[in-house]
Order: sequence, then C-alpha cells, then structure tokens
Amino acid sequence: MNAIECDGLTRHFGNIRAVEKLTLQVPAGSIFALLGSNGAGKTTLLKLILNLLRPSSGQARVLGGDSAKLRADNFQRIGYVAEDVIHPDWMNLSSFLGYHRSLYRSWDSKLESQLRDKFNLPEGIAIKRFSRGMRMKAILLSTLCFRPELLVLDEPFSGLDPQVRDDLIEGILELTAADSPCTVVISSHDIAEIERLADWVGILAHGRIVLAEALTELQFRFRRIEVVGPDVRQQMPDPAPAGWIRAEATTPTLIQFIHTQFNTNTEAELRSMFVNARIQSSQLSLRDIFLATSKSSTSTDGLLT
Amino acid sequence: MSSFLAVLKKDLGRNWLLMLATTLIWVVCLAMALFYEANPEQPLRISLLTVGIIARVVLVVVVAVVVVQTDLIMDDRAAWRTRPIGRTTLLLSKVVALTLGLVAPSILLDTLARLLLSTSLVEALVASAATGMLLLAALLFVALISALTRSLTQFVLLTCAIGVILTVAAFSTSGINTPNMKVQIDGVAIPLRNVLNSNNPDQVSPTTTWVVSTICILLAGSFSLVVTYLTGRRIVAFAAGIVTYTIAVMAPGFWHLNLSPEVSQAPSVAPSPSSTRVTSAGKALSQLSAIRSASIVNYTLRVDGLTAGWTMDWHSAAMRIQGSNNQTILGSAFGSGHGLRAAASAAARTILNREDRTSVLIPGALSLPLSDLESLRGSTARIEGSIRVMPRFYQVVHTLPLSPGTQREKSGNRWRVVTTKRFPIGRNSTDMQLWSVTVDAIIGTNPTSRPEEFQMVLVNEPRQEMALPSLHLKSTSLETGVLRIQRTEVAFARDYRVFPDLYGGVRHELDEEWMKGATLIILSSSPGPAFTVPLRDDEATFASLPAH
Repeated sequence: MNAIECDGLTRHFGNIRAVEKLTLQVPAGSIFALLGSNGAGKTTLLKLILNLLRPSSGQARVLGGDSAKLRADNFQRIGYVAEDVIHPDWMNLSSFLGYHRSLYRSWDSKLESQLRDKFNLPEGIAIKRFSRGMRMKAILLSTLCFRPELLVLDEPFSGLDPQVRDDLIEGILELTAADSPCTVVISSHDIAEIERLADWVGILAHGRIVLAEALTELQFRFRRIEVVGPDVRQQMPDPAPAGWIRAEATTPTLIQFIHTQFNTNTEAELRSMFVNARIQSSQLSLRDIFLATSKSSTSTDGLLT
Repeated sequence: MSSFLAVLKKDLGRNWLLMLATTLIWVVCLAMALFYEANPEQPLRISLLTVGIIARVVLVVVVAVVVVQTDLIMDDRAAWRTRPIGRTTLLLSKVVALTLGLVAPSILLDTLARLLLSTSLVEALVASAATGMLLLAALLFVALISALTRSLTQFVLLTCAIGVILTVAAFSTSGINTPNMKVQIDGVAIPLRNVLNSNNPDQVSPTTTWVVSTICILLAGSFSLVVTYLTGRRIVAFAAGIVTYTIAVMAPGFWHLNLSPEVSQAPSVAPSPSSTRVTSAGKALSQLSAIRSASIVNYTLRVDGLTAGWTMDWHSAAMRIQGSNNQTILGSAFGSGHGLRAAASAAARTILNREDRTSVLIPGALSLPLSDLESLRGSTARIEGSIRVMPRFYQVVHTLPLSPGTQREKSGNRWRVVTTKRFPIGRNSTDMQLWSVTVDAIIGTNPTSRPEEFQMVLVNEPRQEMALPSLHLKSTSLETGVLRIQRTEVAFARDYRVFPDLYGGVRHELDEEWMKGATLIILSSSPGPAFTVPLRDDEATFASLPAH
C-alpha cells in the first residue's frame, strides 16, 4: 500500500523542466526523505503531489485518490509545512491554534497540550514576531495536532539551530509513534537530521528520481570498496563494471570505488577479479551516498534498484 | 460550515477595527447631514463632509482588499490551499465578511438616519437597501481586483490601469468632437454619430437604468468572483471579468423596464417622430461666444404635436449650414435644453386649469468652426441636418404654502420652505424687487422615487397668475449617499404670459399682496425615449448668420 504514487509526472515552466517523467512510490507509514540539490525539483514535486501546481503531464495519486482532484475535505488527512507558506501570522498562538482547531474534525487537544508544553512557545505575541524556529514550531504544531495521515514537510529544518531541529524531529516522531499510521514526506538539505528520522530515501536530480528505496537497503547496497594488493591497478577492468562509481586507482597497489549494487556475493566476485588482493568494504553514510550519486555522472544507470 | 465560520471569524477578527472606523466615519457624516437638516440657518460645510466621504471610501476599499488578500487566490503559497477550506467556502466567507462588516452597518445607519427624518420604515428600508446594493456592487468589483492581485500596491496599479483603459475607451467611443472635426455627410441628411436610431430608444428612466444596471453589475461581479475563486486561474478570471462586466454595462441599454412610479403616471403616449414635428424656428443665429477655433451660436427648434405634460430637450445634432455662395459649414450641437417653460406649462395645467401647449421652442447652442463662419457672416444660409431630441415629462409633486417651516413629503423625498424674503435687483437696489424663496429638499437615494430633476414655480391661484424662477441665487447640495440635502434659493418674477414662443420669461415685480396668495409648486421631470428626426430639405430653414 502506497501513500503516494507518481506516474510519469512532468511539470515544465516554459523551457525549464522542473519535474520530468517522474515515477515514484512512497509506502504508507514510512518517513520518506526526499533529497536533492538546489533546483532538483523537490518543491515542485511536493506542490504537484498536493495539487498546488497542475502537472504538464502524468499523474500522482495521494492516499488513493488523484492528486489533481484533491479537495478541501482531503486536507483533513493531509498536512503541509513549508517555510514560504503565507499563514495568518498576525494571530497569537492561542488564536492561531484556535483557528486551525475549528477547521479539523480530528483535532487532538491532548496532543496539542503535549506539544505546546514541549515546544514552549510564547502565548501573548503575534506569530509574525516569533523567531524563525518558533514560527516553524507553531506551524508544525497546527499541522501535527489533527494527526494527518500524510504529512508533507518542505525544508522544515533550514536555518534552524540544533535545539529547534531536535524539537521538531521529536514532534514528528510523536506523530509517527501513534497507533494510527502516518506517512511523512520530508524534503531537506540537512542530511544528518534526515538520517536520524527517515526510513526511506528518494534522491532527485534534474527533475528525475535517481533512486528511491528503504534507507537500510540503500546503506547495505552502497559500499565503499578498497582493493589493496600488488599490481591491482593493472587488474582493474576498463571500463569499470556497472554499479561502480568514482572508481580510481590512487596508487598501483590501491583501488577505491563505491559499489552501488553490493550484495552477499559481491566480495567473492571481487576476490576472483583481483587475485591476491585484500578487499575491504565499509558502509556509507546517507550524506556520502547522496554526494556519490550527485557527483557521479549525469547518467543514473545502475543507481536504481 | 465550521471552516466557513472559522474563516469568517478570522477575517472579522482581523479587520473589526478598520470596519468600526469606517462605520464611525459614516456616523459622523450622517450626523452632520442631520444637523444641517435640523438647522437650516447654518451654512452647509460641504468640504468637511466631502473629506469624511472620501475617508470612508478609502477605508472601505482598504478593508475589502485586506479581507480578500488575507487568503490569496492566485498564489500557491497561501495556507488555505493545504487546509480543509473549499474555494466556495472561502468565497462565501469573504462576501459575508464584507457584507457584515461594511454593507450591513451602512444599511442600518442609513435606515436610522432616514427614520430620524420621519420617513416611514418601509421607505427607509427600501432606500437604504438600494444604497447597500450599490455598495455591494462596488465591493464585489474591488474584491475581484483584489483576488487577481497579491498586495495593496498591485491592487492600486491594476485599478489605475483599468481606469486608464476605460477612460481611453470611453473617450474613443463617446463621439466627443472637437469643433474642427467634420461630421459625416450622407446625402442631404447628416446622420448623427454614436446615437441609436429612433426605433431603439437609448433614453429610459434613470430609475430603470439605475436598478437594472446595478443588478447587472452585481451579477457580473458575482459571476466573475465565482469564476476567479473556482478556477484560480488569472487568465480565465480576467476573461470572465471583461466579458461579464462588458455585458453588464451594455445590457441595461437594451432593457426598458418601467419601475418608476413617476414614469408610470405619465401619459401612455410619449412624443415620437410620428406624433411630433421638429422644425427650425427660423430665427437669426446669434453668436453667444467664441472658444478657441469654434463659435457658439444660438439656434432654436420648434417642436409641434406635444402631448400633455411633455416637452423636449436637445440631445444632439449634426447640421450643415449652406451659405448663399454655396459655401458649407458643418456644425454639431449637444443638449442645452431648458425645462422651465414646460414646468410652467405642467403647473398651469394642474393648478390654473389652462390648456397645455402643443408646441415648444427649444434653444440650443450650435458649435461652428470659426474659420468657416467668418466668410459667411451676415449672409443668409440654409440649415439642414439631423437632430436628436429627448422628451421630458413634468408633473406636480407638491404644493406648499409659502410659510417658512412648511414641509411636504412623498416617496421618501421631502421639501421644506426655509425663508421667503424680498430680493432687490438692479444698480440702485430699488430698480426691481424680486422675491427669493429658499427651499430645503431632502432627496433620498431610493431609485424608485428619485426623478432626474426638480423645478419650482410660484402660482397665485386667485389671480390665475404664475411666477417663474428668474435667478438661481444659490444652490448647495450635501450628499451623504443615503440622502441629499439640497438647499436652493431662487428669485421669482411674475410672468403671466406663458406663451409657446416665449423663452425666459418677462420679469415683473412681485408685491407683498401677490405673495400672500402664492403657493410654491414643486415639479419633477422624467425623460422619455429619445429619437432622431431629420430637418429635411423641404423644411430647411434660412437664417441670418451672425454679423460682426
């Protein structure tokens, strides 16, 4: 069961192809991190999913329905937090939450109380006078309290200090820890925070999806390989096999590369390829995987499973 | 429903102070109007009231823009787009917020003001609702422009742009001619530009036009807003707005709906081309003035075959004046009719039981190119062309004894005699003694009871004589929107020779005895369908062109 399914989703702005024939599934109940460099198309993709933009072609399905047909009632189940959203921020916190409370049938006053205690926001002043972090907390608070089935977060951590990031992450985890299933899609540059939070990862480049899979599988599949032995440089296949990226022979006795298709047979295959060599494999962080995929050739062959 | 109430509460909560300020300004304006009505000796401070009215208009526009732009339609960053708030709900809540915050207080205050003026509740409610409808129509337009923009600055810029476009369009289609512009010639008859033919009258009662226009504009605003909110697409919204407002502005011109009680009481047969005959009075043209390259000359028409209570005004004319040396001047004229004598005629019929005239002379101002006129000065010329005339029906509204403080009311309008006093005229202030009468008129905005024009005459019934206004000494009008207080001071002279070929009236002194038996007659006038008649070749007149 997928919370979101995109099929050939495309959006052009004039000559700019912001999202190009994108196909993606976000499993229900997952915390799906959407990574990509600036201009990769993350925000456009999220706006297409939420029917804030109309696709040039293709379609997306959200919680089982066509995203182009999302209506007001669907947003009883969908929450969206983004920095550039224009909120009624002249209100103070109580009015702000009171306004949103009256919009949602499923508003959880107990959760509101818990999160208000956790976030420790000032009550009497207008939200527009809040600091950036406090403002994000208030907006997240107004979104978490109706317990959305799908929570979409666009760059929620950018420019926030570590303490605020921790508070926000705790708030999100509070929601996902509940009995009712909640899918979280989060786009961010803050890969370290994402790694703590996400269990699925999608990487976007030039409007196309480069990879999308469970974080554990991804971290198993992507391995840094070091081959050490006499004359290994001469044994290095040319061209490099599919699935090897950033392969280089640093010295005649050392080859380093990232294997993107690592599995239980990979080490045995490498030993047969490099006779008398020592093979060392190590797990990559999500940051390294992201950088490896971003800096690899524009071709995405071999990255997708 | 809960989201509707939530948005409504939010908008009212944010703007209640501005809405209250708007209401308070209106309270002050109405209080001023009521004060002047209660104290006729006080001079009207129109400038102060104007400032109040302008301040209110500005505040109303600002509130409307803020209410609408709080939740932007043309912006995918607007928070409501990802909250459970439907587009229809949002639109409804905005319209209700504007109605509750701006229109309802206005109707309430207007009704209260009229009740304080002793108007009946029904009259007061109808008049105030009519004003409220006009305010709502204006607000819907402001809301539409606000929905198409993202800020007050953008709103102002777009409004200015629309204003410029409309002004240019109006000028380019209005047929306004400079004196040197040549009119079209088609054979002998010279067709008028930009006027409808006689089978399609373009003049209907202002009441009719007002009501139908306002309803059409309300519908156009509503439809455009619905399209704007439901589609959220700027191009579609612009197209819908342009098309619907164009239809709304044009539609009433093709709609004759008789709603005015004044018009309904009019004789069923209004003057028409078949029943009336318009000819030149055949008098010498006299030069009135010369403005830049044009000369304004006086030209008089004679209209025969009028029915009771009806007279004619000029609407416009295109003429060709051919001198004896075959030189031709093309001229044009626009309305400058005078309803005074028709008013007298109507009063004479009602009060003095006199026969109605079936003919009337209507003087007009004809604009001729000065350079062409020079060569024809002093000679005799034949005049032919097309003339558009506008019938006008007069009837007696009130008869008031000339005692200060006397007042009469009808259909939400009220007249009161304020003062009557001698008014010396002439170099020595003793040459002639006229009598001046000052009248306060409270004229409501109820479109069903607001004729286009009022006239006053004095009648001495025992003597079977009549006095017409000779001098309009002072006329001040103070209009708050809900009502107009018009203070008019007119000097009367006796004129018992109300003959068809007399214009202006001969002045005769009014003595105190005459005034003791005098009654003030208030007459209203309403226009009938205009029509065009040619001055045919066989009816062409010869007139002496003005000499130096």
